[in-house]
Parts: sequence; C-alpha cells; structure tokens
Amino acid sequence: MEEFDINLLPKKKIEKLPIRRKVFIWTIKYGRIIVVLFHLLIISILVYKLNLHSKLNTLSEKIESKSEIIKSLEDAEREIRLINLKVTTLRNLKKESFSPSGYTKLLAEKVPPKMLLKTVIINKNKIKIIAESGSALRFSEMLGNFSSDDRVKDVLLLGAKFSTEKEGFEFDIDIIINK
Amino acid sequence: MISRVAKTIYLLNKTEKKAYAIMSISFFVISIMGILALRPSVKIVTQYKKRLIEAKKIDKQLSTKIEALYDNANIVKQNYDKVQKINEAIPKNMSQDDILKRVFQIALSADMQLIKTDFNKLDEKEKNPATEKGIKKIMLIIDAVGKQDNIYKFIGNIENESRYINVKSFIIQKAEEETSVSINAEIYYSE
Repeated sequence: MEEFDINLLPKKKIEKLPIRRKVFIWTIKYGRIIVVLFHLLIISILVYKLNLHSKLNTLSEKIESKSEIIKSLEDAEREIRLINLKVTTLRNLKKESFSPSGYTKLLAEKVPPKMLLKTVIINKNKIKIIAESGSALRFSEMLGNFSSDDRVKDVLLLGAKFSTEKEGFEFDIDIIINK
Repeated sequence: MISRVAKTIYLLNKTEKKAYAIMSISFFVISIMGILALRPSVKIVTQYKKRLIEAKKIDKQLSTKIEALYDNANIVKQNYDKVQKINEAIPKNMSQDDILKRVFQIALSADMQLIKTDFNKLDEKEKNPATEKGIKKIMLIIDAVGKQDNIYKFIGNIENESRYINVKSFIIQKAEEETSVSINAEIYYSE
C-alpha cells in the first residue's frame, strides 16, 4: 500500500513567508492584544474624565451658590470696609494730631498770675507767647516753669523790651514742645 | 555604525531575529496609537484636572470670604455702641448745618460768643497720608470771644466732641475788653 502524506501546513517556515503574510500573522497574534489593551486604557481614561467632569460640575454649582451668598452680603461688606477705613483714619489722625486742651492746661499751670498773655499761638510743635508783665521776676518765673517741664523741649526768647508807657516788660517767646 | 548594526543582525539566529522584529513592530504600533488615541485623551484629562484644581481654590477662597464676612458682621453687632461712635466721629455726609449747630451749642455751654464759622474745601491736590481713600476733609475756622478760662473750656469741649474735630492750631488774643480765639481745624466725612 502506498503511504499518502497529507500535509496541510505550509511547508515554508514563517521567516520565509512574504512580508504581507508575516504582518497578517503578527496582527492576529500580538496586534489584537495591543489594540485591546489600548482600548481598555482609553476606556479607563474616559471613565476618569467623566468622574472629573462630574466633580467639576458639582464644584461649579457650589461656587455659584457661594457667589450668590457673597452678593447678598455686599452691603454688609461695604459697611465693614467703611468702618475699618474710618478706624484706620482716626488712628492715623490721632497719632499725628495734638491735644489742644493739654496745651491750654500747660499754659494754665505754668503762666504765673498777673502775667498778661496778649497773644498765644498754638500748634502741634510750638506755643508762641507775646506777654506783658510789670515785673521781670514774674517773667523769669514763667520761663523757669516752662523750662523745668518734661513736655517742653526748648524755650526761646525772641524779644524783650521795656515799655515806659505801660511801665512794664513785653516778651516774645517760643516754647518748643517735645514730640 | 550602520555596518556594525548590520553585522550584529547578520549574526543573530532566526528565532532572535523574529523576536526582535516582533518587538520593533509592537513598539511602532504602540507609538502610533499613543499619538493618535492616547495623547488627545490625556490632554483633555490634564485640562480637566487643572480646571478642577482652580475651581477648588476658588471654592476655598469663597468659603474663607463668607466666613470672614459673617465673623465681621458679628463683631460689628457685638460692638454696636463703638461702631456708632466711629460713625459719629466720621459721618457719611458733611452735614454743614449739624456742624454749625453743634459748634454754636459748644460755644453756648462754654459761655462764649461765636463771631464767625467758615468752611473751606481743601485743595484736592493736597496730599495727606493720614486720611485714607474714601474719607474727605474740610477746613473749619471758628472765631469766638469770651473770658480766657471760658476759651480753655471751649477748646476742651471741641476736643471732646463726638464728631471728630482735628484742631490744627489756634490763636488767643487779648484785646482791651475781651479775649478772642481763632481755631483752625479739620473735619472729616466719608463718601
């Protein structure tokens, strides 16, 4: 009996096949795995993207509702800002200003009686006094009183004259106040 | 370099050549698919993430602001008296009439006679670092006559007035029969 050899498999090895055939075999064997993996990756990215989108939507709604609340508090915010502005302004002004009653108190304490204060000009840094006195002693007492006070930085005698008409002395002094 | 690669390939056996060929083709396909399919998706996801981070930041800022506003509103409520005093010191309008009325009352209480009260709007170009934006000021000049002690009392009362009057300078002059005082002050109001 003759032996028949039916061989349905290609006789050629895969390396000897044409390139088209090789690519086809590769596509079936490995390409589909790669495609499936890529699809899984893209689907997972899509799911993640949907998750992010939903979170973003929720946050957007929250932000919108909070914006509405802030809008409703606009008047209160304006009032609070104005109050803060006023407080800052008052604080700064108090720092830079002086106490007029403090200066008048100083005058009342240091000027001896029977000294006639003809003109007193007071500002933050200085008290200018043009005074008349029948006695030079009273004037020197006044100078001494001012000089010995801690609030006074300097006492400047700008002018002094004796008036025969008034029979007394006229003085012009500047009292420099400590800062 | 190319001849060395060719020589190396020539030295490989058939199985190794097959494996390297499969690997090269696979990497090539992965790169193509990465560029065409993955890259746009990754780009979109990155953009979403960025927007989400920004939105979270804004949400946090808004929450902080709302909390601060409620806290401040409570503080204002609790310190209502002090807030009223501040509003009286620097009121919303200039209220020239009210100032005149008040100065007249102060002069009366100190037994002083009011001679003149003048308002001068200060030059807008004049800069005063003590006043903040939104607070305006005007110059007030008060001339009055009375006794010296009453003048001191008058000045003290102006200083203690609920509306803040910032005395910049004053001049006391003794004439034959009476003593006069001229006060230069600033008054403030908010817009």
